[in-house]
Amino acid sequence: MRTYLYHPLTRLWLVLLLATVLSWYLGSDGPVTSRQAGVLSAVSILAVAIVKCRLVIRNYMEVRYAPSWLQWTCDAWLLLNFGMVSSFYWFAI
Amino acid sequence: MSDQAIDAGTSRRLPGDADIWVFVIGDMLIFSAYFAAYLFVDRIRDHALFFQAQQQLSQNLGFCNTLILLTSSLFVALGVHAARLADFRAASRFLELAGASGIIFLFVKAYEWYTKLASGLTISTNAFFMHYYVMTGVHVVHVLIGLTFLTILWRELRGAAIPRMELVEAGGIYWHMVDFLWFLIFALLYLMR
Repeated sequence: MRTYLYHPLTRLWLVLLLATVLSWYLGSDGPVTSRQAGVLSAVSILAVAIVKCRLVIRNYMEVRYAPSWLQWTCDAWLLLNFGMVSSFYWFAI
Repeated sequence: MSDQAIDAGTSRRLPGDADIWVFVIGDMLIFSAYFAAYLFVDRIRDHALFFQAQQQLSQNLGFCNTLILLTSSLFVALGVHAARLADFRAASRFLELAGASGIIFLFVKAYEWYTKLASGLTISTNAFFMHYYVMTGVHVVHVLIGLTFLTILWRELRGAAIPRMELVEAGGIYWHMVDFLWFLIFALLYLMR
């Protein structure tokens, strides 16, 4: 089993782990000093989460090797969520 | 799909089968609709209340659970890879590790809910906690379905003479969806203020 751990899938896990640490750091950034800083922090956290989702979808779910309609559908869903949530933080609060 | 085909990057093939993708994409859209309701129906009315209520969640427990699910996803991906190489013993061991990670996730979640309930923060405390319990509760149901799926795959890998790869891939796809939906829930409920 140990040989499997040297697979590129494990390297991706390390990248995802570091991205999670980054988002956790961004989220525990102390009190928000201004509305602009708060929005920037929220959108940065969202962007990291969306990138992590895309890495899992494309590599662990193997969508990168799937027909293009599925790749486009998954990317459209990610874009939909990023657009919807970030627009809330930019414009609605 | 063989690793050679993957490495060459020349083949285009639907992982799992069409049925699992209809289910997974439907689920993804339902979660998006719920995220929209959380933001544009309730949070928009009283952002300050949501902001304050979020301070009462433990980012550290959410962070731990993210790492646990992330690791379980790695085990599932390695399990699918091992199954393709016909190393069904290693594949089933990876699924056992993934299942154990899923169970640890549930224990951490249960502990988190217990501490909130013990502090008097219930589903009826305010709109934020209503969404907190419903969103994480619906996700827990998905984890339980995922664990059932992993058990079916484990039996397939241990019992079948020639395990069905479509089934193994489909189970993996479902588990990864449970993982990445948690990334968004963790960001929305715990981190973004």
